[in-house]
Amino acid sequence: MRTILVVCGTGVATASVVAGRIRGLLDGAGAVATVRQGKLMDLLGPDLRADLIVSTVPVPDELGIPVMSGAPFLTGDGAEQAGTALLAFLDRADD
Amino acid sequence: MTDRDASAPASRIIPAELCAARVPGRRVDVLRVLARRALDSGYTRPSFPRAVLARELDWPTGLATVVPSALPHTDTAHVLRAGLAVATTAEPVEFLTMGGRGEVVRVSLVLMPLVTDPEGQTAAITAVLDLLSDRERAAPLLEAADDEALSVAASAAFASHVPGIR
Repeated sequence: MRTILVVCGTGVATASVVAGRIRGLLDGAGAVATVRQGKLMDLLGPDLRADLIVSTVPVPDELGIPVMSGAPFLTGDGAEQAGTALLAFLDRADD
Repeated sequence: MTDRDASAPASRIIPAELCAARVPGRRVDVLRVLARRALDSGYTRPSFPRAVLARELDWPTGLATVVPSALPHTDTAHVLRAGLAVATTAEPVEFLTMGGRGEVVRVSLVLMPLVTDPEGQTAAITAVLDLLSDRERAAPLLEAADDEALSVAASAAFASHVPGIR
């Protein structure tokens, strides 16, 4: 099972919205992945495990995990394109 | 949301005490006025205004949505009651964009979620974001001349979408 980690600055508001929309996207597409949400500081912890990070804040490049912007899922602007890219990532990752 | 406090000071979804229409000044002025409303009406701890200002510096919340807006918020530790504080600005105000690298958006609408339960309030915050992509629904808020009119417009905008946004 692939894990998508949704991140915002404080883990308070925007990560919940983005995670909800990604769960809806996965359900609609019949795709399966674990969607977790958290704040940026979680990324710096020792037990970071994720196949993809979707973030509404800039994320350090050094993590070695692919990062997508959460903004399209948040604002709806470019959401379709971002959703397609996310599903394509999961397809590739499952190969 | 889950707050059913019988002593709630107003029955409207977004009471006038959480609204500030046509606020003059810059970003920091708008944030101060709105955070102060939330504090004075008993929604937050005294630590909230400083926390929400600091958070905006660390993690900007400007959104280049159809209706350009900002969504300033901070940790649940500073919030006592869930709600939404709403401001319009006298002139467009510059905010840095969320997740951006220094990009600026000029906003006339500032929506400040008072979050006590991130999971439980996801639907409410999603409804807030939906409004920002609907110029027609947002127009009455931007046209409101005073706090009372803004309260009526904001409550109407959210009523059919999030029953009991609090």
